[in-house]
Amino acid sequence: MNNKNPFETIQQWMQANQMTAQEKRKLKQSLVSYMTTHPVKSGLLSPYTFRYVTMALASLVLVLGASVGITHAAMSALPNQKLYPLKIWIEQVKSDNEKTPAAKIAFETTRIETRFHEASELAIKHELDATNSGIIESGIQNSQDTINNVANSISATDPELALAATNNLETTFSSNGKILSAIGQNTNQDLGTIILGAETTTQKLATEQVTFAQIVAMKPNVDTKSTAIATLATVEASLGSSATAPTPSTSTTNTTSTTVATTANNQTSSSVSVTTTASAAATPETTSAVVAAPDSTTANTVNTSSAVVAPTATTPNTTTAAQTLVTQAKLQMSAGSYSDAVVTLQKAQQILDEAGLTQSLENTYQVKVNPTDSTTSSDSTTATSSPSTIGASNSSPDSTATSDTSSAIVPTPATASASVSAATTLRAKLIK
Amino acid sequence: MRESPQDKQQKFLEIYDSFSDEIFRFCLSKTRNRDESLDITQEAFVKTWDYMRSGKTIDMARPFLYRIARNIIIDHSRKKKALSLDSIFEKGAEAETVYDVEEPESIPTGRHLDQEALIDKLKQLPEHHYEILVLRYIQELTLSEIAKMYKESENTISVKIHRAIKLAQKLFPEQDQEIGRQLYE
Repeated sequence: MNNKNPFETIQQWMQANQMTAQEKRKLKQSLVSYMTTHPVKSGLLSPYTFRYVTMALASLVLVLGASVGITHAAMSALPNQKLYPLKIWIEQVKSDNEKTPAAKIAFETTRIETRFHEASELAIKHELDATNSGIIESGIQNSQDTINNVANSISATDPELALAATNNLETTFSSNGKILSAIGQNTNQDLGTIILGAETTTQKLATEQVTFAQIVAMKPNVDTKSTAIATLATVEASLGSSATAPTPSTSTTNTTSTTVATTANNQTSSSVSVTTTASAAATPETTSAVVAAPDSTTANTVNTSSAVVAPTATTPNTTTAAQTLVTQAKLQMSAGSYSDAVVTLQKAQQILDEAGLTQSLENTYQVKVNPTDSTTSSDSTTATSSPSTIGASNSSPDSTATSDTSSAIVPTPATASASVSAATTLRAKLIK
Repeated sequence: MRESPQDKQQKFLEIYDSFSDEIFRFCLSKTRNRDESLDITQEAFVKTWDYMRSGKTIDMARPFLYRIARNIIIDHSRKKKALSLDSIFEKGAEAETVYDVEEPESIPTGRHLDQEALIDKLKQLPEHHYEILVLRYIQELTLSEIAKMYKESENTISVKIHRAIKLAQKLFPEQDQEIGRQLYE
């Protein structure tokens, strides 16, 4: 071993151990051959890229699938299940993302129906304890508050929608309250808290209906003409081919009476109730209205015609009542009172809606609603506001005015149970 | 602007002509096995071509090739160890004997016995120190190229070379000054 730098020595050894020319040529040939069999890849979607994209897509599908599965499971969760908070959270996110008032109202109404459905499911399973009941009631209250806030915010700009929303909400509470009552009777359970809540809410909504109806009725007829026409078409479509105007010859009585019950001493807070005898058919000649103040025995006749509706849960009576209101609305439209017609038609739609919803829920839960069930709105607070009744409510409670043909009809639970409103305008807007 | 397939092939062959010898020598310095070094060199260029044909570009071919060759050597080394261990478990002590018999055959028995003895001595250094000294003082890569190869900064590479030199000085006390001179060149 010499004293030379070892690196230089090694370097010399390396130089002496190069590839031979033959080895180098052979290696080059094999590489050229490899290049021929493995040419340059063209395009972006190479086999590798395609494989990675496929894997990425497969992963995405798996993740999404799992998410959808969990979400789907959560959406059918009941308050006593672990996924229920997730369900509420998803609902809230959806609600927050609703842009238009109509969409928000519609979604919150659906949420309330969902809460009632949960209560019914738990009641059938005998699992509706105080905790679950409280959760459901809280959810209903939140949705209802949201709807009320939205409705109040649009009452000046779009009172038709506000009225329709309130009508629709009342229909939901009324029908579901009756169904819950029936389920409670069938299962021998005390569902009093929720049923009472539904009943109370229905009563509160009746007051709001009056307010919104008054605002609608005060709108210029020019502005409400198109709405009235559209609403009429919707109601007639709901009635189907049977939606023909009743004639005096087909009615069992020629007298249609309107009862307006005022529950307060001032005009703005008056609660108005309009009921119609189930067998009645309205005609202009025989229509009359009576305003009855609780603290007085006076009656105030309203000159304009107004139907009195007292539909029962049975379909024929419901249809008849709705037809009566349609006829009345047509007369109002003929007279140019389109704003009044809108209110009347919304009421007609509400009657049909409630009957339909109740029937649907009966089929769903295999129960039968007792027509005399008192879970619905009380007589004095179930309200609507046809133009005539608004006029009547504006009159002083002390005033007395009786027409020759007027006749007062005392509301009964059966008649009051159906005095809930539909959501014609709301539906029309949602369809748009 | 994208290169045409012909351009890429041309560029690749130029790289081969330029660096095939030194890559082979690097492999030889690590494996001390001529056949294995030829295989690793071929594999390194195959991988380089695969890289180029997939549409990627190579900034500095030299450190790139060294890095690939180094990785292949490490892989081969691991396979050897695994094979050796498997053989020991399967065949007992006999396996080691088989390996020992094969290994000397692959070591070139050239004329430069003193040079090979030097390499043997240098290989007493830890592997990473030996490798970096080979790259720097035998293969004569620049600091920048070694840094690129190891994906480290030039300062880090300088420190590593300094440490390797210090250790090498202990192995070659008679060439101490000469090795030290290399360090400060």
